[in-house]
Amino acid sequence: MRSLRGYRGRLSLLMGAFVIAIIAAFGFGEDGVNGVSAFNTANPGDLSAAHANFTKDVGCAACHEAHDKTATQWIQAAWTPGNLSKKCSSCHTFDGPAESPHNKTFKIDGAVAKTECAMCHTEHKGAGASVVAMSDQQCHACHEKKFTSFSDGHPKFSKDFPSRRRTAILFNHTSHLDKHFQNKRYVDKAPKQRCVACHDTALADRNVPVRAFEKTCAACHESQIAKRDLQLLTFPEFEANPFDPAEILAACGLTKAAQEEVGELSSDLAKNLADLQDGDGSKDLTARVNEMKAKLGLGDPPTAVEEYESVSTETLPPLAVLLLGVEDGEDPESYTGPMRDLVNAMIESGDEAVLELLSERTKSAKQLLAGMSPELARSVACAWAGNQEYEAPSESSLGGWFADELSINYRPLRHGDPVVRGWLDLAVVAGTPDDVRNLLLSKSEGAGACAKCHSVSREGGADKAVKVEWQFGAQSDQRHVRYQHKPHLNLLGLGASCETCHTLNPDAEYDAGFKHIDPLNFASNFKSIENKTCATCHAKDKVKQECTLCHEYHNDHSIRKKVVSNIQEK
Amino acid sequence: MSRRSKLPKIFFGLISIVVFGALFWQSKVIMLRLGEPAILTGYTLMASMLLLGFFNFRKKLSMIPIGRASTWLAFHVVLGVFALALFGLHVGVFWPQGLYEQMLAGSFYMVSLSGVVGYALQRSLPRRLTQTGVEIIYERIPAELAEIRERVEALVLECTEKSGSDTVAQHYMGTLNWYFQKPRFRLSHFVGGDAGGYWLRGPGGAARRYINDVEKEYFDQIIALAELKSLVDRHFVCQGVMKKWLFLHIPLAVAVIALAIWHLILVNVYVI
Repeated sequence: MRSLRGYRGRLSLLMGAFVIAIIAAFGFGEDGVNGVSAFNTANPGDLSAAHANFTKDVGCAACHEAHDKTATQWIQAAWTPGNLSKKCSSCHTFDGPAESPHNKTFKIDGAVAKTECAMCHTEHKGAGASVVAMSDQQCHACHEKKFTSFSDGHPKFSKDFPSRRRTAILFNHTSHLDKHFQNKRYVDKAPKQRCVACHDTALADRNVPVRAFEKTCAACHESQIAKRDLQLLTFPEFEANPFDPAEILAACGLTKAAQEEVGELSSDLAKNLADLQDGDGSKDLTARVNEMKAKLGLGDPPTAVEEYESVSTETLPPLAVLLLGVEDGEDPESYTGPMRDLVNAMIESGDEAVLELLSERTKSAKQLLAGMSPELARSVACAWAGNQEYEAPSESSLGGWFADELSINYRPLRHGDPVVRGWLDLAVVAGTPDDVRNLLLSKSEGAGACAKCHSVSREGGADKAVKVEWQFGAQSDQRHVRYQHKPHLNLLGLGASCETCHTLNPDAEYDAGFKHIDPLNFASNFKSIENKTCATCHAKDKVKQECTLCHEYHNDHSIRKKVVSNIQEK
Repeated sequence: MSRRSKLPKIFFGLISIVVFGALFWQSKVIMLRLGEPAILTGYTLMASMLLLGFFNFRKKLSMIPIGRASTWLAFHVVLGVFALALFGLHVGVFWPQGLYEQMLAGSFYMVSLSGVVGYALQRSLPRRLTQTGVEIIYERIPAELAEIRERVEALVLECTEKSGSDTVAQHYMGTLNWYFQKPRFRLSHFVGGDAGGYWLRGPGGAARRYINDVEKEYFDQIIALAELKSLVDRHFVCQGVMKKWLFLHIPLAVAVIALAIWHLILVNVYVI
């Protein structure tokens, strides 16, 4: 007879065998729908709602490489460090390496341990669980400066906080709010609501965007735009006539001046014919005929330099020097040939000739010459080839391309004119001659007066491109700080409540920060926001104050488009 | 319990508290370094469970001098409590999410609960058995009960012959025979009640008022044997419980260890 101990031993063996049978039966079970329902011993819990869809097609293998592999591969996997982070990165992207702290946004001295997604994010905690919920302790794991809470020990905000760079637009808040509108000439245009007169609180988010130029700056500054023309080309002074009158006559016909001469010449011709008929030999008929031919532009070209008197005393402007690719815009020897060729080409193909030439210098030539009339280019070229000043049929009042006597110009049509923007963008491209750049970006003379307000910046090192800041830029380019203006505005009230946090600093040398292209070398118009201002509300037993309320760990996190489109298809 | 017998528990208890404190602290350190404390607590828990399981083998290896049984029991009890606390530290929640993890947790809780109950029985039942004044080996109890029954039946026959009355015999056949057939009033014996004695004083002894003096002499001997049988029943029930609770504890412990080993494999293959 078996003893109790014997029965117990047998029962224990049976229990062990039962467990092994369960594992054998379900240990490699189905992944289930959305990784949720099936009994799979490898499933430690339902996926979060955000991730449940991703496993639909490939199941657990979407993240766990060893899933559904052979026993040998399992053994290998057991002794090989996991690479879950790599799987995460197949969908999640960041501006910087995923395995570096804060995606390598900050320069850190010394070696820094590699980070893994699972250090902070935990999955399989149920459909309702948050994968992104973090504790303050997790932040303190790396940060050397440890403190109890925001209201108790948080480091001081940086100098000029929240500004980390100068504004994209040179707009001196101090002078606009407290100086310009004190002047009687502008007092009627003073923003009664101060900040919110320009900042649109309806769109308040991280920033409170500025209303359109037309609704804000235009009242005072719009007229300045059309006053600054862009001079593309002038007809320069030549030492000798570079054009073939016969060719010009054939291409352009009689010049306007010649056509006027025809009236006088007809009477001269009648008189000469009468003299010839009368046999009056006191006159040298050959000389008379040559004189008439010359007046009609039909005579031989002057052979001596002193016989040609250029209608222009101009030199080539910087843009023309760039266009023609000549070395010296003041040296006729340098520009005569290219200018002759251009004018001849303009007679033949109008603005296409200018476009062709400019295309050799820049890819955006079409934008730079947008709106130029072929007839304008041809008419101007014919006049200049005939050593005449161009006479416009009417004076340009609407803006766009126009020509006066000896130059072709562009007048900006409005704020944001694409042609002028294009020329300014060209001005900051590496390789553009300094005189072109200086002319276009001149605050006092630059085309469209764009550079008066739009700053020119190069951010991120000498190898980065210089660019004109056309858009009202985000002031708070702090990628790991998040802030929502809207709830604060609603709480504090609209209008002057902005200045509860943003206090003007009248002593700041704001304008000096725009005399160079480094946007990080600047002085803010405002004093730095102080911790205590925020801590008025965000403190213990008041409003929450955990790290993640204001800080975001990752740098510009997004999901790969492929993943998003797959989800939409499903 | 003597002070000497408490010493191992105090000793192992202090060590457990220190080790658990160190593990708790180290888990926090690992967590603050954004590491995975479950690796440390998991492997320690696995080792603890294997050590707990070794207690069963130690009992089978009694011929090897590897410490006193009471010391091993103290070690097992303290380590069991330590493992329960460590399980909480490892899992972090009372009831995990995955079905497999729930099976593992459920089994672990059942093993722990059966261990606690078993230990409580081991502490309370022997004292109660000592109070009976009877010492019987569990395996001898069925034979002992049969012997008592035979003696009672012999007394009934003799009483009938000597007294010429079958009153006692009738009572035995109608009432007492049920009582002597097998252990009775088990639940009462287990919880420490006296339902058997109450029954003997009631229905069991009800015939006494109808019998003559000769019969009373035999009847009293029968009741004395019935009271002895009640004590033997108590031994049978209590000793049985003390032996049989392990039918739950040990197989469940085997299941937990098997489930945990698979869990360990999965974690290493899928995560670490």
